[in-house]
Amino acid sequence: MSPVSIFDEHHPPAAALIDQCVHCGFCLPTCPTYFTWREEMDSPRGRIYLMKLGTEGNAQMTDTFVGHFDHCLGCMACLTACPSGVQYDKLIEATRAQIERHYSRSFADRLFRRMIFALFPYPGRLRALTVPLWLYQRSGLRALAHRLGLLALLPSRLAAMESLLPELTLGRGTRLPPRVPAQGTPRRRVGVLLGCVQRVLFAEVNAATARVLAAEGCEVIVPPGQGCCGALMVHAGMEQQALDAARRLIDAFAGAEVDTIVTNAAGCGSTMKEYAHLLRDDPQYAQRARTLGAKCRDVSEVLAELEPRAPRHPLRAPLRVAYHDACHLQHAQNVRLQPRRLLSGIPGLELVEIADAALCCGSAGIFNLIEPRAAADLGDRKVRACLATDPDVIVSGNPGCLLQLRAGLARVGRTIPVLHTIQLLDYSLRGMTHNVVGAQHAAPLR
Amino acid sequence: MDDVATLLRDASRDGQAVIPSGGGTKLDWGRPPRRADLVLSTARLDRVLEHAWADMTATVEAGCTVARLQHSLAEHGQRLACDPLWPERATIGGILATNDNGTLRARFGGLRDLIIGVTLVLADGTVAKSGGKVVKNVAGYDLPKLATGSFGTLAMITQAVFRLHPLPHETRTLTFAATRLEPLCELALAIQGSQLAFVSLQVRADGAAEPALDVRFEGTRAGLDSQQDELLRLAANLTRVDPPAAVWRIREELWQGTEPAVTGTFSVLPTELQALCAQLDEVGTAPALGWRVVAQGVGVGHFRLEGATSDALVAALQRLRAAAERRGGTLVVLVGPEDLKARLDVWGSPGDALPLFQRVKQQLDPQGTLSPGRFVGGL
Amino acid sequence: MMDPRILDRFRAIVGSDGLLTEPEQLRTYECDGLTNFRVLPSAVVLPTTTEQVQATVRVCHEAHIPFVARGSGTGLSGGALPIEHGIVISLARMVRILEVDIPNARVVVEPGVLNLSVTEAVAPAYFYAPDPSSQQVCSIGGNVAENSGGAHCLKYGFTTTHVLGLEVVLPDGSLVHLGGTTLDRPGYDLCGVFVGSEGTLGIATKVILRVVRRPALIQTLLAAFNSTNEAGAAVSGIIAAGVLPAAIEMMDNLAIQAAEAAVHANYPDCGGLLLVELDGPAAEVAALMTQVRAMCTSCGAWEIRVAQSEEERAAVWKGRKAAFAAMGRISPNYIVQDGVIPRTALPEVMSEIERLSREAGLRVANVFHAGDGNLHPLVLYDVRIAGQERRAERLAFSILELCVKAGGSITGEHGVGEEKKAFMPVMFAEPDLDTMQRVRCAFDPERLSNPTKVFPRPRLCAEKPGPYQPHPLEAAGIAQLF
Repeated sequence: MSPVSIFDEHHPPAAALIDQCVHCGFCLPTCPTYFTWREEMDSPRGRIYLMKLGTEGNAQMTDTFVGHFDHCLGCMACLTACPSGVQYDKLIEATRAQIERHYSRSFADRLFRRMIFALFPYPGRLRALTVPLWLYQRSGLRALAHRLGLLALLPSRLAAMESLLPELTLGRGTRLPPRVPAQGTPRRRVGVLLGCVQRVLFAEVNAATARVLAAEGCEVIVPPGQGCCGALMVHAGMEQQALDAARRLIDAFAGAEVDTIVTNAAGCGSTMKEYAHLLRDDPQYAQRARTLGAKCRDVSEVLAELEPRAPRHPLRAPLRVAYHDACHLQHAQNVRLQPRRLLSGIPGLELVEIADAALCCGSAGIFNLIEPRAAADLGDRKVRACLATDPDVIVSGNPGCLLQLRAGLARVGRTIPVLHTIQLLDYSLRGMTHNVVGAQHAAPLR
Repeated sequence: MDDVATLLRDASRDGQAVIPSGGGTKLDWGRPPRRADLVLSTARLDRVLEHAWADMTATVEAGCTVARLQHSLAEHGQRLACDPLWPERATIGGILATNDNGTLRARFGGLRDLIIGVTLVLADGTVAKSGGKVVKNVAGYDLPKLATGSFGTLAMITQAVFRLHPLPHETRTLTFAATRLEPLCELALAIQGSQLAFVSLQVRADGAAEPALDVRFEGTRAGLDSQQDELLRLAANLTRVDPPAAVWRIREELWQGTEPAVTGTFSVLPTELQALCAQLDEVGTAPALGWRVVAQGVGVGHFRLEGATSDALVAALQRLRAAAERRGGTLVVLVGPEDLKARLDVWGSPGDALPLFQRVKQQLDPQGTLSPGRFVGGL
Repeated sequence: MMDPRILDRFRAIVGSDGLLTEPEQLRTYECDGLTNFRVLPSAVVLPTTTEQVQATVRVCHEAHIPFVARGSGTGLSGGALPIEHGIVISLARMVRILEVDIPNARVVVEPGVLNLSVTEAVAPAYFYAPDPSSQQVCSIGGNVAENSGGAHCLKYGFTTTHVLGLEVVLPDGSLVHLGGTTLDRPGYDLCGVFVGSEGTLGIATKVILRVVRRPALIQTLLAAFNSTNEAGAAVSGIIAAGVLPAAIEMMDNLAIQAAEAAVHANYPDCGGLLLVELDGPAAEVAALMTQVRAMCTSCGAWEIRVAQSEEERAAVWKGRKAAFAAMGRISPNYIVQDGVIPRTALPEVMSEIERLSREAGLRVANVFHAGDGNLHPLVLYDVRIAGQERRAERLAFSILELCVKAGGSITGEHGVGEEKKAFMPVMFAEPDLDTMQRVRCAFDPERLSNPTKVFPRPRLCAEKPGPYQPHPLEAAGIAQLF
C-alpha cells in the first residue's frame, strides 16, 4: 500500500506526537465514549491509531473514520490519565481541522453546524433569540409541547437543543459596565471575558464574577466589543474561524492593560491559554497571543492566588454542596483544588465529592448538540452520581455543564439548584443566606 | 523416575490397572477401583531433592513423608504451610492426589496454591514437567493444578516443587466453648469478617460434648498480644477454655470410633456452615446415629457418622448431601463400608463438567490404566 | 474478506451495533498492548450475554473460523493478537458485577469488568488482591487468561488463587461450569487449568472471585541504596529473617527517572530503590517494620521513608505502577520483558544484563518484583534508528535465555502469547509440551480457540495420545517443523 497520508501538509497530526503513544490503554477507562460504547475506535488509543493509519495512508476519511473523531468529546480526560504524556489535545485539534478541510459532510449535518456556528459565537444574535424563546416558555407553549410529546417529532439534535434550554427571564441581561472599581486598596487589575452563551443565558454569573473580584480588591475591566474566544470553533476543527475569533479577541483586550484575564467558562479559559499554539503561524499575532495566553486564569485560580479579603458569610448551614469538575477545568487546565478551596472557605459549607469525577457530563462544547443520545447517557450517569451524594446544591465552573446537569435533573424530575461556583461565593460575600435554594435557580420546567 | 515410566508403560500395554500409593493412608478414600493389578509405591522416591531456602522453594520426591519434609525445611527456619492428616505417614504425592489441605489453608491457601511445579508420569510412560522452580511462572498450562486432587487417575506424581513460608516466631491458640453451636458459628463469621490475621479457625461439635471453637495465630509477641485482646472482646459472651492436646490434629479422631461408620468431607459457604452442622445434628439424632464434626471457618469440614445399619447411614448421608448441595456446596464420602459405597455415589455429581473430565482422562490415560473407576463420575 | 453470509449470522446474534466490519475499525483491533505484532481480524464481534457468546462460538465452530477473545487489549504478550482469517470476540461490553457476597467474601463478575472495579465494589472493608499495574484498565477476563499477578502477589497469590469458579463457553459453543462458589470441589481442577491458559481453552463468561479483608494497617517503606545489589541483599535479609511482606519492589535508576518524568514520584535519586509494603494487625506491622528498617540500614540504605498516610502510600505506588508506560517519556520505543529468576540469582543476572546492554549499545531499565523474582527489564530503543529494533529484540531474547539459564521462567505474569511461544522449548521438553497439548485437545480438538498462541508447534488432536512421534518425512530428515 503506498504510504500517502490522507492529511494535508498544513499541521497534520504530528508523527512525533503519535509515536509517543505506547498503546498501553490507560486512557480507555477515563474516556467517556469508551465508557459508553466499549469499542476500541471510540477511545483515545483507538483514535490515535486511526490518525496513524491515516498518516500512513492505510485508512481513508470515510464516514466511519470521521464519525469516530466527531464522537470525541474533547474532554481531555485522557490527557490526565496518560502516563506517557501524549498530547492528545494537539492531535485531536489537528485532526479535526484536517477533517473540516477534506471531508464533505451530509447536507443536514452541514446545515446544523452552520446554524450553530452562526448563532453561538454571536452574543447579539443569541440575545435576539431569547425574546421568542422566552415567549415560547412563558406562554405555556413549551409545557404543552412537552406534554403532547411533540418534541419527539423533531430531529434528535433539535430536540436536544430544546431540552437544554434554561429557564429564561427577560430583563435579566444586565450588562456589565466597562469598569468596576476595586473595594479597598486595589491589588490587581483584571480583565473579564464575558463569553457568548455565558453573557446571554447566565448574565448573573458574569455579574457575580465582577462583584466578587471587586470585593477581593481587583479593579475589573470589561473591554467593550469583545466577541467569541473561538473555543467552539477550535474544538470543531474550524481553523480559520477560530483564528479570526482569536485575533479579534486579542484586539479587544489590546488596550485593557490588565495583569490577568479572568474567565469563568472552563472551555473558554482552556482555549485562551492555548492561544500561543493557535496563532503560532501568524507573525503579527504570535507574540501577543503568547502574552495574552500567559495572563489567562480561571476565576477560581485568581481568587485562590489572592489572600481572601472580604468576609465570607455562611449560607444555609449546613449546606451540602456537590462540586462537579468541568473537563476543561480539571483536565485541560489542571484546575481542581482551587474551586474546592474557595468553596470550603464558606462557613457551614460541606463539600462532597462526586463518584467518577473524572468522567465528562456529556456537555463538552457542542457535543450534547451533535451527539444527543450519547450526551444524554453521560448526563444521566453524572446526575445519578450527583444525586447519590444527596446534595443541597450542585456547583460547577462551566455554563455548558450547568445546562447539561439541569437538563439531566429535569429528566428525572428533580429540582436541585445548579449554580456556578462564583455565584455561591458571591452569595456568601453578600450575606445572601436565604438565596441559595430559591426557585429561580431550579431546573427548567417540564 | 525411569523405573516408574517403564513400569507404567508396560502395565498399560498389558492392559493392567495400576494404583499409585504413598503412605497408604488414604487408599480407602473414594470409590474402590474397578481393577487393581499393580500397586505402585513411592516408598523409595522419598528424598528432599533441593531446598532453595533463599528463594523459599523446595523440590521433593512424591514418596517423602510430610513430616520428613517439614523436618528438613525447618533446618533453615521454613516449612510447607500445610497441616494435612497423619503427616508422619502421609506422603507428598498422597496429600496432593487427595487434596488433603489442613487448617493452615485459611491463611496460606490450599495445596493448589502452594505447589509451583510437578513432575508427572503418564500411563504411557511419558514424563512431563510443568511449572518450575520459581513461584511466579505462567508459562504453559498449570498442570500442578490438574494433578492436585486427581486421586491418581490422570498421572502418577513423582516430584513436586513447593513455595515455602517462614516458620512463625510464635504461635498461640485460643479455644472457646458454648452450650450450642450457633454462637460459635457466629463467632467464626465475625472473626473472618474482622481484621484479625488468624492462620487457622475451626469449630468442633459432636452429639455428646460441648461444641468448641479454636483459633490459631502466628506472629510477633506484640502482634499476638494485641490480637488476643481483640479476639477476647469479640468473644466476650463465650467461655474461654484450654485447647485440648494436639488441637490442630483433632480431625484425625474422626477416623476412629465404633463401626459401622462413615467419614466424609463437605464444603459449603462460610455462612452456610451453621446450617449444615444443624442438619448434621438433626440427622444424627434420629434414628440414633452418632456424629462428630470438625469444620473450618472457610466452610470445609470433616465429619463422622456412626450408626447401627448401613441403611440408616445411607439415608443420613443423602439428606446431608442434599443440604450441602442446596446451597452450592458438596459432600464426599471418604471412608465407609463397602456395601454402603456401592449404594451411594460417594463423590456427588460433578455437574456439566463431567464430559470434559472424561475427555481429559481420555487424553492422558486412554487405556484407563490409572486407578480406574475410583474417581468422580466413574473415572 | 469474510463470507457475507457468516457476517449475517453474526449480525443476527449481536445486532449491527455488535459487529465491526469496516477496515479502519478492524485495524484498531489488530494488536493489543504489544504493538510489535499485528494481524487484521476478519470481523470483531461484541456480545453482551453468555448466550450471544455461545451462539457466536457455535458459528465459528460450524464454519471452522478461529477466534480470539479480547478484554481491554492491554496484554503484553500478544495474547489478544487476532488470527489470520479469524475473528475477535471482544468481551468489553460484558461489564456487569453480578453478585457481591461480602459475608462469604465472594464476587461474581462478567469478564469485561475491570480489575480495579472489583476492589471498588467491595471497598473499603475488602479488596481484590491481584493488582497488576494496569489494574485500572485491564479486565478480569484478561486476568483469568494470563493468571495475572501484580506487586502484592508475593503475599496474596495470583489470579488463580482468587478464582473459585468459572462459567466457560467451550470452543464448540457448549457451556460448562468449572469450580464453583465453594472450595475443594471433587473432580479435576479444570478451573485451575483454565486460569492462565491464555484463551486457548475457551471463553470465560462468568468469574467467581474471592476477595480479601483489608488488613488493619498497611505501611509502605521506601529505601534508597547505591546499587540494586545492595537492595537485593536487603531483600534476602528480610526473607531470611522470616518476614513476609505484602510486596517488595525494586527499581533501578533509569526506571526511577522515567517514573519521575511521568508522575513526579519524588523518589530518592539512587542506584537501587526498594519499596517494601507490610500489612496486617497494627501491632504486628509495627514490630515487623522495625525489623525491616534495621535490615535495610544494615545493608546500606542511605535514606528510608515510611508513608504516613493513604495519600502518601498512593503517591509511592503511583511511580512504580506507571513505570512501564512512563518509559515513553525517556525513550521513543521499548520492549518490556517478563522473566523470572530465583531471587538469589539477581546480582549475577543484573550484571549480566548490564554487560549485554552495553554490548548492544542500548539502555535497559529494570523494575523488579523483588519478592518473587519477577524481573521486568525494559529494553529502550528508537525504531527510527536503523537496526535498533532488531538489536533490541535480540537483547530482549538474550535476557530471557539468561533467566531460564538461571533457573527461572520466561514469563512471570505477562503470559507466553505470541511473543514467547518460540521460547517454550527452552523451558520445556517435548514431552512436557505434548502433555499440555493433550489437555488442550480435551477442550479444543478443532483448534479454534486462540490456536496459534502459547505452543510453538500445534498438535493435531486426531493424533493418538502418546509421546511425540515425528512425521516420517521429518524423521527422514526431509522436512522440518517450525
